[in-house]
This record gives sequence, C-alpha cells and structure tokens, in this order.
Amino acid sequence: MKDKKIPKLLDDAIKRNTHDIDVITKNLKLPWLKLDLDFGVWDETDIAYLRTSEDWRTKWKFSDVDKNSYQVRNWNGKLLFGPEKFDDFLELSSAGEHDHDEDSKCRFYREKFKYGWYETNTISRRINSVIPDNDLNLVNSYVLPPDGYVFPHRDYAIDGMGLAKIYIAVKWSDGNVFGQYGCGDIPIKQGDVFLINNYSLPHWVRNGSDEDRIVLDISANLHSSKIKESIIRSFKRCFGQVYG
Amino acid sequence: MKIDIELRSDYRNTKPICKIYSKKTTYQVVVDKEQLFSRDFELDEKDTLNIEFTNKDGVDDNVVYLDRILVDDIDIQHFIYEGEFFPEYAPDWLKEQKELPPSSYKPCTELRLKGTWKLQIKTPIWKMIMEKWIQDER
Repeated sequence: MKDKKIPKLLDDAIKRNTHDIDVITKNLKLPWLKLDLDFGVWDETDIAYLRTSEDWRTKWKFSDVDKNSYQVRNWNGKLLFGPEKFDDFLELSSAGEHDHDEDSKCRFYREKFKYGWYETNTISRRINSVIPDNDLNLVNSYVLPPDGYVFPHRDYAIDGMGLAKIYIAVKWSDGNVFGQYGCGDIPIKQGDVFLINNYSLPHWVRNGSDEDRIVLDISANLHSSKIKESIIRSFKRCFGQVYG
Repeated sequence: MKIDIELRSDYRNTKPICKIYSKKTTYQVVVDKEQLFSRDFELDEKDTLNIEFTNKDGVDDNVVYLDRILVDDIDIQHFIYEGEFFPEYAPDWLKEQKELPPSSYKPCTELRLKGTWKLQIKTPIWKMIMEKWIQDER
C-alpha cells in the first residue's frame, strides 16, 4: 500500500508507543505481575535472620490494635531498611487524615528523612546487587507462623500507586494463601518474586502450612534500572504479541 | 441466615423493647443492660436489617446501644456505621419546633428516640464487604 501522510498525533502514537512503567504500575490496576529479578537463593542463615516474633502492628503503632485484633493472628515483621530516625518518621507519617500503608509512607517521606540499612549482611548485599540504596524506600520481612492470618482488607497509598510492592517468597510452603478478591490466589511458589498491588482490591493471607511463611517486602523506586527492565519484560510476557 | 447482635441499654424502670426484622422475618426482644440477640433470619439477596426501638420512655430516658453485629458469623464492624436511624418524633413536640430536627442520623449506634435503625445488606455478606472496599475511593 502506498504511504499516505497521516495526522501527526496518530503518527507519533504509532511510532513512539514504548512501554511506560508508570502506566503499567499505576493506571492498569493489575493485581500482580511475576518478575524475573534474581536475588539468589535464600539459605537457612538468611531465613533465621528474617524470622521474628515481633508484632508488626505494634512496631508501626497501628491504631485500634485491640479492637481489630480478631482480624490478625501472628502477623510479625522485622525492619531491615528504612528511616533511620524511625520514631520521628512514625510521628510525622501517622499524622495524616487516613491510614496509608507502610510502603506508601516510606515512599512519601523518602527525601525528608535519612534512610539506610539497620544492619548490613548478606541479605542487604544481595538486595543491593539488584537495587541500590538510593532506590530503596523500605525493606522488611513478614513472618506468618502456621495458622497465622490477616483478614480481608484493602490498603491505601498516599501517591495513587497500584503495583508497587516487591514481594519475595523466601519461605513459602504449600498451604499458604494470598488471595486477591475477584482474581483468585496469587500463584506464589517459594523463591518467586512478584510485584503486588495491595491498593486496588481487598486481599488476605493465611498460612495453612506447618512451617513459618517468610516474605521479604521491598518498596523501591520502580524506575530503578533492573526493576524497570524486569517489569517491562514481565508485562510483555503476559500481554505482549505472541509470534507463531 | 444467623444474625447476632450485641445490645446494651440504659433504663431505670422501663426496659427497652426492640422489634428486629428483615423483609420476611420479625422478632421482638426486651433489651437488658447487656443483651445478646441471636436468631435465624430469612434474608433476600438485597434486604434491610431493621432495629425498631418501640417503647421509648421520655421520663425513664431509656436508651439502646448497638455494640456489635454479626451476619452469617461475619463481624460487620466496618459497616455498622452505615446504619441510619430514622426517629419518630412526637407530633406535638414537632409542632413546637421552630427548626425541624433531622429526619435521620448517620452514623448512629445509640437509639435515644423512638424510631428505626436501618442497615442495607446484600448476601452473601463476605462479597458485600469486598464490594464496599472496592468502591472506597479515599
């Protein structure tokens, strides 16, 4: 067919429509996306370091902990990277009108406080091999013992994010559930890395296995080069054109 | 479907009486200082849980408190504040008012006037709760 001049807007759209991770992570409201980031294999030393019985809600001074206690059983966690002056950060970040989740608060106040590792070790080095410190907002473990659960709930973000939480299944035995309303369960297997949207849909977790479920949660700048490339590769795998 | 309601009341001599009903099921309960109401209701897919305070005694100043509601064994803690109370003002008292009082109160978990507290419910309850979260645009 003979080339015909087409309107500039359409021409630009056709020629310049590259993948935009802001559109993918914010606008689409995808419930999850499996990433191919390689953090290596988590060994027993890592697992022992991440394991904790520290109550996550107490650590973050959640309001109404007693009133809502029936909704959570043994939701524990350990901070690995975040604001150095954590109490000052909590005071400022808790003053808002609504409860926003911990990842969102750490993103929002990233320039206001000095952030760093609370301890450097093989875990911090392994995460830094993929994501540099200046692109990290929060790194923590979530530990859910057998029979632990978190009721269906929805989290809220200050910054309108969707897909945002990098979720590494360090120890994930059969019987664990991470459900997203209307979408079934996230198909997580031990060692997987997922980008999860905990802001658009009600979701819930339960450990129905006989072992602790241990997850690394990372809030990071998604434009960080390795993350960005992985998001685009994953998106293309899920939604790209399939060639014969 | 089972509905459990934890009620409390204040009174000196006149225990509050409430009619608790859906479209197809009605019960009456005399509310003690602390009262656990637990009954089976026939519920339509879209229904209304009504709690009607029928014997408000202005002299005794009896009051009913709605502390907790479970429908189908699910605590609807987050949605009890969606309930709206429609008071029935005494006609003579109403005529004397220069400014009309509100026709309803929401949120309201203390029934201090004769009237009916209404909560719209949809079954299955777990889905109703999920759908409300999805629609929350805060």
